[in-house]
Amino acid sequence: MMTEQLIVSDPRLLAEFIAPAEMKTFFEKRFEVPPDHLGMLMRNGQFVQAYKGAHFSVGGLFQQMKGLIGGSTSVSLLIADLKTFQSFYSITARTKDKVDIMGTVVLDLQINPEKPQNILGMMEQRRSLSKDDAAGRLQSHAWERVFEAAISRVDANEVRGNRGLQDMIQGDLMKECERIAGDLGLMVRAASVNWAINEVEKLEAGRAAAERETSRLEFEFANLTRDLERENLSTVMRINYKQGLEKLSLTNEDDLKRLVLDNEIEFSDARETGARIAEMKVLQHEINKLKTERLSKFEGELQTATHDGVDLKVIHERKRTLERGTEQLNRSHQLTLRALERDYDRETHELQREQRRDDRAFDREGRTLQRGEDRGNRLEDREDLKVQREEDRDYGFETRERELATRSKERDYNFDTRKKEVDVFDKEEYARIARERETDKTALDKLKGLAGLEAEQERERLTRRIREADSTHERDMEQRKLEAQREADRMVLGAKMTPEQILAINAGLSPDVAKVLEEQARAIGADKTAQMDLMRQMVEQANRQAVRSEEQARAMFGAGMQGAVGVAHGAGGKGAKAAGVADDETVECPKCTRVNPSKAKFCVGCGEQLRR
Amino acid sequence: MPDLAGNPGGISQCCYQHALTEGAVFCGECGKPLLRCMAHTECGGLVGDDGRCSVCVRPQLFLDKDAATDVKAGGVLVLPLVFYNASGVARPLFITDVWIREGERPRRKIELPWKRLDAGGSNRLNVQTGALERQGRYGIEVTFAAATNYFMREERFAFTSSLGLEVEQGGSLVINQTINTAGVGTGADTIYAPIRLETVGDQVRKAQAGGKAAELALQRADNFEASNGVRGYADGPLKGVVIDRSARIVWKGFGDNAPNAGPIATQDSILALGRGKAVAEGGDNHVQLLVTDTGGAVDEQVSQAISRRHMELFIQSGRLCARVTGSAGVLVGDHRHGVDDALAVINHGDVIRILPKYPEALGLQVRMRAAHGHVDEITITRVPVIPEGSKS
Repeated sequence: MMTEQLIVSDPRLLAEFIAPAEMKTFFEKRFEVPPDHLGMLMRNGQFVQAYKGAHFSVGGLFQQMKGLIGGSTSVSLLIADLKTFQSFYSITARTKDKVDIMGTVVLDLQINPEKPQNILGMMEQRRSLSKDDAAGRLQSHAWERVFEAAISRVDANEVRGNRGLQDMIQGDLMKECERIAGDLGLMVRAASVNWAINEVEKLEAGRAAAERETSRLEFEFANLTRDLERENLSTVMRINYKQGLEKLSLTNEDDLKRLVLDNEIEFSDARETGARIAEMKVLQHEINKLKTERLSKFEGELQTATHDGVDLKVIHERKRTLERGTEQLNRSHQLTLRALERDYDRETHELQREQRRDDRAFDREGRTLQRGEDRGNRLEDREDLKVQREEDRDYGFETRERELATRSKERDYNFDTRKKEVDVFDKEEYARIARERETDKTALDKLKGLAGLEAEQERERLTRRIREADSTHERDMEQRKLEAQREADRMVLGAKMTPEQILAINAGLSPDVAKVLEEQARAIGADKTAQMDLMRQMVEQANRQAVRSEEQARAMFGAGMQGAVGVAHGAGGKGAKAAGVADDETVECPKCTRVNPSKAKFCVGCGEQLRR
Repeated sequence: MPDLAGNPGGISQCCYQHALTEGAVFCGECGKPLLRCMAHTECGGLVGDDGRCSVCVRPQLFLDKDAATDVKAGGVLVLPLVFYNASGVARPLFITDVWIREGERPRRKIELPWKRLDAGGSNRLNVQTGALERQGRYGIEVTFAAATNYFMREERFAFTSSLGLEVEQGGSLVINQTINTAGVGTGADTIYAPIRLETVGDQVRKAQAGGKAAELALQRADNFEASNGVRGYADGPLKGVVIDRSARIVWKGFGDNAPNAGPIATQDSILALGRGKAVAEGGDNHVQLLVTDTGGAVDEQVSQAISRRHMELFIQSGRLCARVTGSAGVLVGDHRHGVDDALAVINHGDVIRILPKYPEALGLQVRMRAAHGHVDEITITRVPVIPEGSKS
């Protein structure tokens, strides 16, 4: 069976009724409505179905026979074009600054696919509705309400490219369309106005062209002027005159001409020199310009750097403080060094004094020995003298000579014996003294050596101390520098906290207390994990003792902390009780038997409620 | 940013204090379970109801100071964003994904050239919107996923920030941009409002440079996390459901040796399972796994195949995970997890077969109870069941 496509008979038509005659056929006829058209079937004056892109069939023998038996049915079909269509019309309106402007309105309209049957309301008594008729309905309403209203708000030179204005016109048109033809199944898809050039714009365009021309001429004029100036600056003429300058000063213009013609005077071009001078001036100007630019750029950067989150002044101040600190430390180091040197000098002097004293003692001893020796000699002389006197006395007493002779002989004999004995004794004494002197000398030498050794050791010790003090000082300085650097970094990066501090702050302690605890943990803890464990114990301790300030925290450590165990077991001289809780301060959980502090409301092991 | 700074929701000071006690599982003051952060040894933090440790995860988002530009209908806006990791401890954050959404348009993913964000560090990212065709107010939504790692574990979160943007019509209007960040209360939008100044002639259209970077109010995008697989299950019967860290774990079928029911509140927030003794008996395991015969007696020979610490259970990014540490591996469904494929995501209804060689010897059946998109109870049943009154 053939299928006939149902579309509007004229492209200018928007909707059209299909003549009933086309449907009354002997055979059944099949119609097709393309997807861009809508077919609305009307039976007995009522819309029964709307088809879009559908097939349907009407007529035919069977239907006629059915009509004969059951009565006939009036069927008609309305075809509507669903595509958007454009409508153009010209408008004239007056702007805010009272200029009449013209434009072409482009209106995109469409039948509302939601309620296409309402298009009947626009068809009046006719069998079809043209697109122009539909658009015309809007035109008359929209004139004053839309175009005049919109354009009277703007000046003539603001209409071009004004998307806001176009949006407003489109919005108003849509509103108008909804008001006028919304129920009639028509809707505005888009609307735009193309503006003709108006008087104001013409004037402005002319003015702009004139301005452009003027500025071009001015630019050319400025260029020419500059060229001339440059030419003027760089043109230097040298006059060579063959006859003498005094004569030249007397001549007038005619004479000058004559002189030139007679080749008595000639102008030589010294332009190159002039050009170089001009170039040098330009270069000088460029250098000055660059200098100024770089200076101002640098100042600008400096300004930005100062305001860019980092206050250079504060950092400079900090740096100066650090430098001052460094100088002070250096000075104190110098002073310590000098004091050490003084100590060294003093001790060296003392050693020298002691050495001198020893020397003197040795001399004194030598003198004492000498004196002893002298005394021995004198005794010996006295004995000799006595013997001599006795001999003389023996000479005087002749009577008793024999007796005495015998006695004298005996005495002589004794004397000789004794003299020999004295001689031997003397020799022995001399040898002893010599030996003692030798021993003393050796002892003195030894003493001297020992003193020197001690002095050397002392010197070494002092040097070592100085070196140690030096290295300690250097280390201290390095440490301080590092700390200062860290502080500066911290200033730049913003305040940071260590995990230990955060731990303490999270547990409700103040930042000051957290800092003290962290110091102690770092001082005692060997590695990171040990520090964190220690920190936990200390935070617990501090919380138990309700430590609120830095002083309290320091007092807590000062009072009874003895190593890590002391920290855990509590300050204030408490005994090393496990977990720092006395037996009467604990309670056992009835569910899991875990020992909890008696203050605990819930068991920390199983969550069982211990008290209310 | 009231929700990202300071304590996360639901954590009292007393909990932080009691978390310092080694082995404490509950707060002695308020009785709440102590849910420690996975990196508790480093940060000392606790995890809030939202699963986030406020010490480790503190991202901040800024609009850079050069952001002041005028936007007109049809124009494109470039948002110079600065991501900052405000964590006080040295825990890095990893920004894994960034999305942007303008108005009602679909959300777009932005390619990220970087990922790591060290503590105290910041990274920049320029995000370009699509063409803003019509005039009026646009809502621009910037969403990003941030991850924190600790050893083999990772927690992921999504945060979002909204900007309200006025797009003006074109024409001879000078637009001066101002940024108002005075967000009041949770979830306040950051207003990014161009103020229109009508002037005559071509004036300078750029806003004055040299302002301060504006902080954008961040909010946890929990719904986004669940629907985009950032947290919770992305497939299976619990698709879009998130397991809370406070979810109770109930042990059944372990006879008299059944561990106490409760959330995972160990020091490292991991439950260890294996042949080794349980903590109550002086061992390291939370649950001791031994194979028993039909009479209930321990089959020592087969039990030897179970490692002392065979696997670890933990909750990661809203999912129950098992890390296999035993040499024999485990069987989850039909998939064997061993040394090379240690991490297994456990879903509702899964049975963890402890010994792949003897699958019927010992298994753990996992069932989860979900309500309103959150799992609040996980029941782990030993298969075969050891009757009450007998010890495994």
